[in-house]
Amino acid sequence: MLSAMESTEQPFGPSEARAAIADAESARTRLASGLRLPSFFHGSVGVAIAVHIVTGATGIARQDSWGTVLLASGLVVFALVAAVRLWQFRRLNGAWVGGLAGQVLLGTAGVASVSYTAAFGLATWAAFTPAWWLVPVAAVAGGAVYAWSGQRWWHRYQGAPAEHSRGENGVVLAVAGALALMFLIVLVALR
Amino acid sequence: MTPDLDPILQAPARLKLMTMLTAVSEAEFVTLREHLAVSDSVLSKHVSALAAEGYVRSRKGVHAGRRTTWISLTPSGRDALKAHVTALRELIADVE
Repeated sequence: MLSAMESTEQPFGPSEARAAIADAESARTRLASGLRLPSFFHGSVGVAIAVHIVTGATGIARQDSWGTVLLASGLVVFALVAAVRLWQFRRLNGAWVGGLAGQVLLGTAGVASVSYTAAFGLATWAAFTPAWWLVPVAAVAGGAVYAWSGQRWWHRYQGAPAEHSRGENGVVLAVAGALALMFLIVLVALR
Repeated sequence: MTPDLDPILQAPARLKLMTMLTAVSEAEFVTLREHLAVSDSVLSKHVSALAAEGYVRSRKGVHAGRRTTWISLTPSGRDALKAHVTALRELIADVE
């Protein structure tokens, strides 16, 4: 037997409407604020990005087969960290938030993508010059900003879950992935 | 004039369920049941009714080593919810 909550026959007045909206919004807020991130979530993403920038920049600058291996290994480390962290989030909460994968892990948030591009560019330039010490500095800075951007998105999500829950469009992600792959292939081919 | 309320969403539990689903891309049946504080059978009937209208989608999966059901809002469900909430707000505004 269904509860009285299911009845749709009762007349609906303004007070019922107000209560229904308040109740539904409160349930949504409770659900979103009850979601927990696995421990050291943003930190691990930042570290993975820093490792990826160091290995990527060094790999490109080496211009030999070991450089390619280095470049690929950094990407594998990041992909593994991202996959494990998302799996942990899903297992911990029994829920999936597309925005977390897109904005936090894949860095589609404006600040994350700009800082990543700048840090990767600076690290790659430094790896070709005597200022090699700039490579780890740029990587750490890039990873830190990436992690901070993720943390900022998470706070925004918990404040307004409906506005931030959805992930990126699949087509957009596929195009971005294909472009990144083409970029790497060109880099490897030009070495 | 009375705004057009969606009869499928007039049940508070369904409105709550649909609104909760806007906060996530997908949620496990058990997670939704705990937040709604209803029994398995009640939630199952609500989900079936909403799925029959094309408002939600359910799929079988595995969570923590056990079989489970994941529920998500469909684009038409999102539109229906938006229209229903707009109608509710109009109803409130009419008396203010």
